[in-house]
Amino acid sequence: MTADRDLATIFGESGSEIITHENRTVRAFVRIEVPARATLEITRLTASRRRPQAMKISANVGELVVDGSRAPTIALWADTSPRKVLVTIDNDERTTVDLWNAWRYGGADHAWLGNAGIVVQAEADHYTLQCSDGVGAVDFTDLVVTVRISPDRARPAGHVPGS
Amino acid sequence: MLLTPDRMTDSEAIVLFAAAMLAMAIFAIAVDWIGKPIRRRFVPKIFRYPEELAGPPDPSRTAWSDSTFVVPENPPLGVPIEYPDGSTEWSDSLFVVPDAHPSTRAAVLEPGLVPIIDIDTADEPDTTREPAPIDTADEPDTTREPAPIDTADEPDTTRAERPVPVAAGAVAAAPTPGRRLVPERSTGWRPGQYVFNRTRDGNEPRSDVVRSRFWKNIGISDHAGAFGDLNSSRLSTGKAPARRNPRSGKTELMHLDVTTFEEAAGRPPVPSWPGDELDPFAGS
Repeated sequence: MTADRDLATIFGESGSEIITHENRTVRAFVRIEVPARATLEITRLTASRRRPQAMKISANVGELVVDGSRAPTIALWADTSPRKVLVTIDNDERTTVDLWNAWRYGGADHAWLGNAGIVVQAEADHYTLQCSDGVGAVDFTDLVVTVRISPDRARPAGHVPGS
Repeated sequence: MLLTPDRMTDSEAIVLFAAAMLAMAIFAIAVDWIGKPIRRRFVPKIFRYPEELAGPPDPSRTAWSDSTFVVPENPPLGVPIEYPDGSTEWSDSLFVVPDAHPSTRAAVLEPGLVPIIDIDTADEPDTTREPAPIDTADEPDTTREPAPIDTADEPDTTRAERPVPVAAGAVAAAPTPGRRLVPERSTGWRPGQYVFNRTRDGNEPRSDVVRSRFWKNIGISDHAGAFGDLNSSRLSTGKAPARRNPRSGKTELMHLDVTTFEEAAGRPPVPSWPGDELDPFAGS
């Protein structure tokens, strides 16, 4: 009986960030282990036109570097960012990054409300994140992105810049 | 000496049992320690759930990035307008009094706000901008002693069920550059009315009262559903929406920074969730 409750309610009742909805595993956010100085290639396949969608990425250790900007957490909005973005993790050790979707509604950014959730498909060399924003019915096509992880071969571990 | 059950005393049996448990614990720790280097191999957690598949997106319900957008002649409220140059206007601003677009299109007021009036011509009668008359038949008696502060200007909850559709869907004229625009304020407040309305006694509303009014207005609007089922009761009682942050496991409240009417120039406050993400492409 999940039809009468939104995903946020189910997440709250389960106390978990992973639930099952209509025979699919739905996550509140996705945590991925990444090697040191890895690069994430984020490609947006589709984004709903009903409201701006965003993929938010946060490094649990270290910082993210995107297009010359550096921060622990970044937001890639569908109405401003390029379709393909390279995100470098500036950390000397293996770490994890969290990804979750957000949307703009009424002039404010929202996440983890209503029917928000992420379904993940693991491919051979990348992951596909199919995201539902929290407004209206569950729709995992509100934002669809692929995440491809590659080690930074130009800067292997132990490499000293300038040497 | 080999101990056998028929020759062991109770104390010897306890010592033997403790020794066996200690040996098992040491063995488990050793296995765990040896196993760590193996587990350090890069195996994304995401691969642990290979069965996850939502199916391909339905093109008829989505906007593919490479698709050609068609400019709608009369886009419904809440649907972005796509201009030929690729720019997009998102018109579902709920919290902010929208400025007029550079084009000649008029700005649309959100429900619950009175129409914008020009401060320089406020004294001039303009029937087209007058808000709908408010039925004051059920207004509380202002001669009685003021109620406690938290509810001094709040309506009786039994009366709060009937929102007043003041200026819902009203259209305001495009503002003139350089002229300050402020909404018109009334005295007293009921759900659906302007959050900066003066109290029944004619005083400025306190910031916590403005917050409560703000959330109650959201709670009775069509936008309440955007905050999810869990927040409907909170909004109806004037409380800020809450959400569970799954990364931290903590509950977060939506923040609403309220200033005075004058400091805000009449603009309703804009709420925000905790977080300081960087948008590296902002302004691009």
